[in-house]
Amino acid sequence: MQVDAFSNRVMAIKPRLYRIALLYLGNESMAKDTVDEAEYRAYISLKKLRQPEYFETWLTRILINECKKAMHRAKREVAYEAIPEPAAENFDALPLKEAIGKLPHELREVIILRYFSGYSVVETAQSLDIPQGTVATRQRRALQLLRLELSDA
Amino acid sequence: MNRQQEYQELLLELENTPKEMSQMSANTKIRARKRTILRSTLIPPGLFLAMLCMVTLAVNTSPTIAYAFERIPVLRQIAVAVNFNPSLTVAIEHEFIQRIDLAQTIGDITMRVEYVIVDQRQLNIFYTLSSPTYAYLNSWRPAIFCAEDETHLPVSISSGPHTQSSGAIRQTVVNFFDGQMPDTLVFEMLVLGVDTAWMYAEIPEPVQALPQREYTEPADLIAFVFTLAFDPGFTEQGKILYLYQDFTLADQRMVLTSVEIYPTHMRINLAADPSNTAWLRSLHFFAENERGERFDTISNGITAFGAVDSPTMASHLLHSPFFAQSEALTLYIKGVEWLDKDMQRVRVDLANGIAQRLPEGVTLDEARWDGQSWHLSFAVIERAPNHNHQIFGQDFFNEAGEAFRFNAWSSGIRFHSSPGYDAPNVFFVQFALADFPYDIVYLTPAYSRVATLVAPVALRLR
Repeated sequence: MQVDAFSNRVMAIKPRLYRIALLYLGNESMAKDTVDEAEYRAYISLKKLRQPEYFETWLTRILINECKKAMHRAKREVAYEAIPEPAAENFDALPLKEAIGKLPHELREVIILRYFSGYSVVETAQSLDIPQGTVATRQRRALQLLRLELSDA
Repeated sequence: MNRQQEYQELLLELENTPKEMSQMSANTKIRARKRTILRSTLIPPGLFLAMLCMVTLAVNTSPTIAYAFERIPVLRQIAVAVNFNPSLTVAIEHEFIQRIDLAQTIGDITMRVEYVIVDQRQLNIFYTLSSPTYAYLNSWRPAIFCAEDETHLPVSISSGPHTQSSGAIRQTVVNFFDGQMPDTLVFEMLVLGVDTAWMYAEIPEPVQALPQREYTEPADLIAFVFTLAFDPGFTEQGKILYLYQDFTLADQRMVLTSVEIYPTHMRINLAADPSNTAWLRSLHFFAENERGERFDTISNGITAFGAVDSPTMASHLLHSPFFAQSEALTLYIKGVEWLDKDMQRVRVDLANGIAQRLPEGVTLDEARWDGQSWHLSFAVIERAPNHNHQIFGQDFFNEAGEAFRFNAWSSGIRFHSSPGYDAPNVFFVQFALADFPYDIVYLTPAYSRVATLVAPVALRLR
């Protein structure tokens, strides 16, 4: 893929990438930085992308990894007790945005991709490199925790 | 607000993406470019390290590769060994050196012929002798034979110091009088491990003027014999300029017949007018090209070749202009050493200590009879500070013309110093006429006089 094509395709999906990062990290500044980092990682690794039709899910996977790294760095910078793992019964008491941010990351990334980024089960599975069945299981579990009823469409 | 409403509001909220999140970041390309530059500077050292690892592995696993790398210091040693010789130094710089790489081990001594520098008329053999037993080894009597019939070839051979440390680079120089360098020849060297005990032994007293001793061949000499094959690309090199220029040198008439220019040296060939009263023995001369590059006489090794039918030294050697690409070359003769034809033998009255006629600058210092042999000492004026020269040939005769020969002499300090002979710029030549019962001896001077030319003789070589 040429640099121009890369630029065009990044521009097309970058808002969506930002939404993913924002929901995942809960912080606008971190989200912007992480999207830029993912974009840079994708740019320098472009030659490794053998099937351009998977560009979007490939870049999303890079972004998810960068989000995890960012979370890890944030946890190192902030005391662990400041970000306690919530008990399952507390999710419905939290605002939705905050509750999503408190989900275990396996569930969080599925719910973000499926219901806030418009990815299908197949695309989500490709992006996270997990089976579609696992996507379905995790999304059901996440919706239960969030007390959110959304269709599978 | 229920979860569904929250969800819808959150979707709307997320629609408001910052402006910069709708285009590719400018930093991406800048960072990528920096990374490329950084990698281009870091990869070569990385590659270098990788190559270093591979070379180390190869050297440690392959004897052939290990030896190939071992040769780099060998070449460096050769370059150091020929440092005094401008012709050979330039030859090596022009890669005019052939690898031979032949080795033989006899007992616990290994001789390895490493390289040769060879052209039409001169062969320089570079070799090593090594032994786990001996720290020092002697190399004796190098000889060159025809490869076909093993007869001696008409050559003059000179070698470096006989005794050298194990593993040191040694050099034997072979000059061919006539004919082309053969494609192959046989090189023989006798070798002896040195028992170093003598180095620490006390020097016996008193020190006498070199006694005449019978030479006895060491019993444990080892003969190494190598057949050397030369690359014709080297042995073809050389050219002859025929000149036939008459000229007057001091008071004698000479003809410059030809000049031979080889990579290793240059030869000036002279013929003497038959009416001359003296034989030419040596020249003080040099050549110079149009750029002022000077080619001096050989300072260490064979300097001239004699004529077959007279004491004349007919062929004189200089360093080579072969690689200098000289368009013009001029020979300047500044001095000459003659042997007058009537002075080929000089009479010395040993009993009375009287020499009838001696070479210029030479006086009889002492003739001492010890009951069996005469011990002679001559005082000689130096031509240059700390520079000794030969005054007599080794042959001598009695009154009846019977021939004798001495095989050892010393040149330098006087063995029995006396107050009259501590003059500066004088050296002493001392030798013994062993078992020579006569009171009169005829010695054979190496020269009779030296002429320094006020105006050098200039001869255009090309």
